[in-house]
Amino acid sequence: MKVRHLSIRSFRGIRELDWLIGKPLVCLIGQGDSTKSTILEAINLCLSQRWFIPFTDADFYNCDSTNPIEIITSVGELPDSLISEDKFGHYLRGWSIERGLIDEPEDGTEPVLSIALTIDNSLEPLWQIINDREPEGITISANDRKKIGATSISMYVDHQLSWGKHSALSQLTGDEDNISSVLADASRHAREAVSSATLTELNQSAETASELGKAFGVHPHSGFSVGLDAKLSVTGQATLTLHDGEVPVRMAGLGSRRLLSIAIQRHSVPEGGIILIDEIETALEPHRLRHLIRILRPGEQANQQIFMTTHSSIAIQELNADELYIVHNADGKIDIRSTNQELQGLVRKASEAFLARKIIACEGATEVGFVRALDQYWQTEVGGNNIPFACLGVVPTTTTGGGGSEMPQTAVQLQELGYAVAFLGDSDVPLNPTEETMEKTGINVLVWSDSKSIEERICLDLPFEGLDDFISEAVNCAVDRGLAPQNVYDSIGSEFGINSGDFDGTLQALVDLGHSEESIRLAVGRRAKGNKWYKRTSYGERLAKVVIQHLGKMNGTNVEQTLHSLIEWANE
Amino acid sequence: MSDEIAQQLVNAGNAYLIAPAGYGKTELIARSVALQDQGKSLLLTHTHAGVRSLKKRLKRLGVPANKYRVETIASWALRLAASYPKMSGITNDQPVGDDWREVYQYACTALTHINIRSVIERSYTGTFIDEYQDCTKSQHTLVLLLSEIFPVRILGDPLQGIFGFDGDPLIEWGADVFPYFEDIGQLEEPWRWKGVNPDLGSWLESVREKLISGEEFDLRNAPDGSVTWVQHSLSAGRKACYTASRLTGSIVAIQKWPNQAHTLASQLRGLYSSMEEIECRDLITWAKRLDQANPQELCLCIIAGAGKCWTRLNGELRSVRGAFEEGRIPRSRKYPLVVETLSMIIGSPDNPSILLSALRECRVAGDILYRNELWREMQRVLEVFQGDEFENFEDAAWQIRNQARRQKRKLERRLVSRTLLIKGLEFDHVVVVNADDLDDPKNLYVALTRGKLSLTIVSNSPIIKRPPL
Repeated sequence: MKVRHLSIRSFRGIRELDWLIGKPLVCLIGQGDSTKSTILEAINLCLSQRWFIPFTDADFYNCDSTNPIEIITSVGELPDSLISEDKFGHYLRGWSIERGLIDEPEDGTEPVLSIALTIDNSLEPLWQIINDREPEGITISANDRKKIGATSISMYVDHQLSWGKHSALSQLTGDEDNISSVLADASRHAREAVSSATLTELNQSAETASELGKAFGVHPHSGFSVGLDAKLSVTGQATLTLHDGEVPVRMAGLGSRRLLSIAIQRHSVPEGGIILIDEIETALEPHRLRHLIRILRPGEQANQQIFMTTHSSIAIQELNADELYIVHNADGKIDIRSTNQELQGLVRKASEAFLARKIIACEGATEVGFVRALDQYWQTEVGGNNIPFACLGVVPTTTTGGGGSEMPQTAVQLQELGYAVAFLGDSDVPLNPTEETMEKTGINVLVWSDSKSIEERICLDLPFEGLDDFISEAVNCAVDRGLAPQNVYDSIGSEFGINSGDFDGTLQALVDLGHSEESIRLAVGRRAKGNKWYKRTSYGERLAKVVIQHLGKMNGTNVEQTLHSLIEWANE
Repeated sequence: MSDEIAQQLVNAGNAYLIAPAGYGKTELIARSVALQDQGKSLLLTHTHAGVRSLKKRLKRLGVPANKYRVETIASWALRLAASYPKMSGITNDQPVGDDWREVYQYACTALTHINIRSVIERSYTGTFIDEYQDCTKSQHTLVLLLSEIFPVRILGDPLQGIFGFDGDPLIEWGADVFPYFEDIGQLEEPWRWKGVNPDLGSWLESVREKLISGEEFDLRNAPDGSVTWVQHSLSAGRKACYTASRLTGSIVAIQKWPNQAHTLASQLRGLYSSMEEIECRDLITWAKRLDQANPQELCLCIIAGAGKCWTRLNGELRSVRGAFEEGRIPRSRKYPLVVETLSMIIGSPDNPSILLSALRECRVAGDILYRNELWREMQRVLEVFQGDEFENFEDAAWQIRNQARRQKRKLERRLVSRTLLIKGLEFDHVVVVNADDLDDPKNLYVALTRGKLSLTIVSNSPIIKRPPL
């Protein structure tokens, strides 16, 4: 069974959603309150095997019960028992990836049934099979919905690990008659045990009660004693729970309990079914999480579908790009976009970005570190009101390899997935797609002016004394890489025809030699870029520190203005 | 009945079985369904009466309802086509008359689509189709398509194929059935007569063979007491009916044409009631006229309607009729109330209850009721019209008849009827009012096999010969 199409109106945070689904494994990601969990809950309610579910006004969008809740799931790969002529064989619709949902199951489409759950202000849920030919719809019973086998993994797993009503363990158990007679026996034995025990003190008070009663005219037949009340000793089926030796499994860790619950529920569903797991990473270590995703992934032939939500970058890395669906909520209108194989690399390496609200697509690692350090600074900035990027959901990211030239394309792809994207990078090499193209898609393009790289731009905009700090940091980075400081000095020196070993890095020396400030700036910048002094994330952070030190004197510069734009955009 | 042949039927692929009249076809189908250990059977018949009779038998045998589905082939095909209008191409989901031929084509089209075929395939393990002598060519095309999906077992009797529509002829067993379906034989036991009149049963068995081969047979050689030959004369038919009327049990007198039947019923002065067709065309026509009539014409319609059902009425109200035709208000010393109620129509032509009272009042001028069913239905049309559901009288008449189609018919104990209306039914006694009119072997066979206790045949000669089948 697979959900092929979902349509929701007026349910909790969702005013309107129409979603065509093609995959057996669907993972919803999106910022908080994007309604991911609500979507799963909607599917769960629509395909629920319960005959009644209590709803309240709070379940309506904006708590307005004048707009009825409507959840329609169109389900394919149906079991024979639902498709037969006396069930719903005359109510089928058609579905295919190319054509979407059509009203009749024409050739080349898969037959599906549309199950609609509606709740109006009477709060009474109504489940029906609908199509355009039969707008009145016909009722689908709880028993028939059960055949679709939708099951949801909730936070309350203990119920599943007992033999209570509707638990997965109960459904796995074939013959329930035996259980009730076993329980009846257990109850009887318990009562017998109590009445034959020597409960001296209790029985003494019972005797006292007897005496007192007699004084008032109450004469017991056999004399009072203490016993286990048959009616009150509720050894119902729910009290039969899974035990590991003597210890009830409910004492085990949440992660283990959840995994066990998932395993049992998946197995108990006939012919596959549809499994809904909210926050799959809950209580699981990375290795168990990865393993869980791998074994849940339905095989090619399996008649099953899994829906999950996650906030975990580990989960995202384990998934394929085309299994990820990004949920955007614009004032109740929900938009779900799927990624594709091309972004697989980005998904693996920058999984955090996919969980962000806004993404700063950085040209390279330098920019990423640069932005991170600035974020830290801004939080502590005196007089600033700045909220950490983490709270704003802003994530700087880049892909490595390819020299940063693929980043504009990635930025566009991310923008098209619905994220708010800013691009931070060099324009020294022509960008592909161009700045204009990127801007047209809505990306906030921030490139250093005059076609300069970040290093060159900083060298141009720092106050001249700042350049010394620039060079000393570069030296620190070089040393970190295991190189001698002279390396750095020589590369600068070579710009001015100075032989190696002859330059000690003091810029004053260059000034004395008659070189202009500007030429020095340009030279240092060129070398920084060419020799990749700052080409790591941690080095980018150090670079930021240099800039921060001198930011006060950089008013009006391109660097200061760009950073100002960036922080404004982040806070929008 | 042994389970052997039922088992054979269940195990068969595409097959046919010949079932002479009264040989236990319904029982056989029910038993076959009972023997099927898994899956569900689709049981298709050609008439609603057939559906009812099968359902009753299945219930009696205690066959669980989830093992079968019984429907007429018409309604099954219509529902299939109408559920998927785009894929079947059907445009009219309320077909009448000739429209039906297309319905089967649309159903066939629907089945060419794999998703629809798959529904049918997964719903049933096989089908049994009853009354196959009533199957038309377009229905047969649908059946052939079904035979590609699962086993189709056909039951019927070529010697009883008397039904047919102009636009859609009946199948020819030789060309249409035998080449595609395996012959699993013929039912051998005359169950209808077993235990009540086995001699009649065996005599009819021999008559069957002679009718198929075109040989002659002599009615005087038939079992005494069971079969009576009466020499034909102008009054012979009527006399035979009078004689038979003294018998207990149900009696049917068989004529060839509708008007002959109505006339005979009228001549028999209420002893026998004339049986209406399911469609009851006379009712529909009358309702149509009511819709189109002006106030004077309404009065004439009411009189005409009553006149169809009651003897003598037309004659008695001739002058009243004449007055209305000329646009005068009639006067009648003999029937003042009739005139009064009829005149009220002129004042309130739109009031169905006034029409109803007038109709009922007219009976005073009639002598004997001989078309009971029609009389009942005319009143019903006017009664139900009090509500708002019907557009006009014709619509109400259609609905009433549609309902009647599905329900068990209330038949009078003594009926005058025709073979077309009574095929498949069973009576205690039969009078064939003029065997020479039934000049084809099929109509004759149907007529002869309707009764289980006795048979009276009126004909010119006791030697009967018909063209071979």
